Amino acid sequence: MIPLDFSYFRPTTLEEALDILSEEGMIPILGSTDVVVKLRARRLKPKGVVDLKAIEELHSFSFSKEEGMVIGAAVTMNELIEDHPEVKENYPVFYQAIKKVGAYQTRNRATVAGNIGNSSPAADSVPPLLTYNAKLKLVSKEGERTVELKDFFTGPGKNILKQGEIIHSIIVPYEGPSIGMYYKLSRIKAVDLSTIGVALTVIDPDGKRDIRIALASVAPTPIRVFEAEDFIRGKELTPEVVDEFAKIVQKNTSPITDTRGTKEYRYEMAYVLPKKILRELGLYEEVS
Amino acid sequence: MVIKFTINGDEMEVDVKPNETLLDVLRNKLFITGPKEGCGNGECGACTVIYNGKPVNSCLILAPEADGAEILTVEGLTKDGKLHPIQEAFIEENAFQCGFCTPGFLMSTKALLERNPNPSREEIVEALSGNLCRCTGYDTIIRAVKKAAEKMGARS
Ligand SMILES: Cc1cc2nc3c(=O)[nH]c(=O)nc-3n(C[C@H](O)[C@H](O)[C@H](O)COP(=O)(O)OP(=O)(O)OC[C@H]3O[C@@H](n4cnc5c(N)ncnc54)[C@H](O)[C@@H]3O)c2cc1C
Repeated sequence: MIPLDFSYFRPTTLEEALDILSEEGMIPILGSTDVVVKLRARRLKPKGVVDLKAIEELHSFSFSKEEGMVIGAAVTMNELIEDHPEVKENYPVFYQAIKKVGAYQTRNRATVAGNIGNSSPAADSVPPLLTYNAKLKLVSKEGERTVELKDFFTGPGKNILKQGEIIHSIIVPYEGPSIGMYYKLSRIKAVDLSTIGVALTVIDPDGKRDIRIALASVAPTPIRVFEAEDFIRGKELTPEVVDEFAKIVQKNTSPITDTRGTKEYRYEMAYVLPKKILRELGLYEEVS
Repeated sequence: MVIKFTINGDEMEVDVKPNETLLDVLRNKLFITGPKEGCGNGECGACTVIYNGKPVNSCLILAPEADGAEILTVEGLTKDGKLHPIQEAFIEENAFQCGFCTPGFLMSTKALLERNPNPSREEIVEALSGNLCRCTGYDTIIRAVKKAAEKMGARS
């Protein structure tokens, strides 16, 4: 029993949902994996929760090279990695990160929209999405707008959503084949939030070779480090270039100490991991 | 509010409150006590049930969300007083000591073997990573899952 009184709504149309959500104190829920934990800890005290899962259009998924991938808010993480082979094929770094969220049970409920809506600096789905230039379609009673994911977060647990506004879908452009890695360091291998998460994506590895990098759990929000990307663009991947790249990534972090790790450790790993990933991808060799 | 769901094959109507979890309702209203409350935060897996065909933590589901759902708990594994092959395998391999985590492990195993009848050790470990056991050290559990896979393969 959750020591709190609130009401529950399960609208079947978007219009109805947005109507209820426009009222102060109403919050949306999808997999409720974050929400129930927070309710129980009384870290959330809503007047009511609005379950979006009965709204058919939020369960849609589509992919095409022209339009990219469009993930409806209510699609679960396991649906993404088990039912849609396009995800692994075209967005391998995102696929790897999703597989590392929680346990199998968690992913049967958890959604990417909920991960983004929760706006934790540790959200594992976010760094890869940042490297793939993801956008969000937001809807409210007032209308809809599309925003860049990189402009969505404003602090730990904070974002630009207004009361009554929800994530309708996540749009991930297709910019060509990609390789890369999501490296998640956590205290235990099974179920744990990231001490640090690094997504390194290489778009068009055999052509223009565009290297992109984004990190979780090293700043108040997940971050993408454009400065490091600009530095490495077009350069041969010599040990010196890669080292400088990693130093620029590190310089852009501002980690804190918490139960999962110290700021010194995170800072060090923000330098070690980008190099390690490039090495493991076979993109450069360290000369000893 | 009154919700309707199917539990272990029986259709039921229950009066629930928004601040009750599915686990609360199963245990305290329906006296289906196979699912256990360990952490209450989705970390330990003791409350795992199969929900619309998929294993989930029943402690993280608000009771009204379960309206219309089809739910299987450990109580539904036994047919006509006969243990399920997974249960037999757990007994034969001594895959439990105190037994608190066992219903959760059985449900995760059932779901795993349904989607992958012949899992590798690695696949077993991954599928069970959301279930904690503080007694066995997991080796006997992994052996039991392998054995259950063999038994079920042999039977079908
Ligand atoms: C055991 C366990 C392990 C976990 N492990 C990880 C992990 O490894 N990595 C990780 O990143 N996370 C992890 N999490 C956190 C959580 O599972 C994820 O953040 C998940 O993606 C949340 O999705 P959900 O659908 O359950 O969201 P919900 O709990 O339903 O909602 C989360 C937040 O988003 C808001 N929200 C819901 N829908 C919308 C919408 N359409 N638009 C805008 N806001 C919305 C809610 O109001 C709430 O604030 C874990 C959680 C548990 C319980």
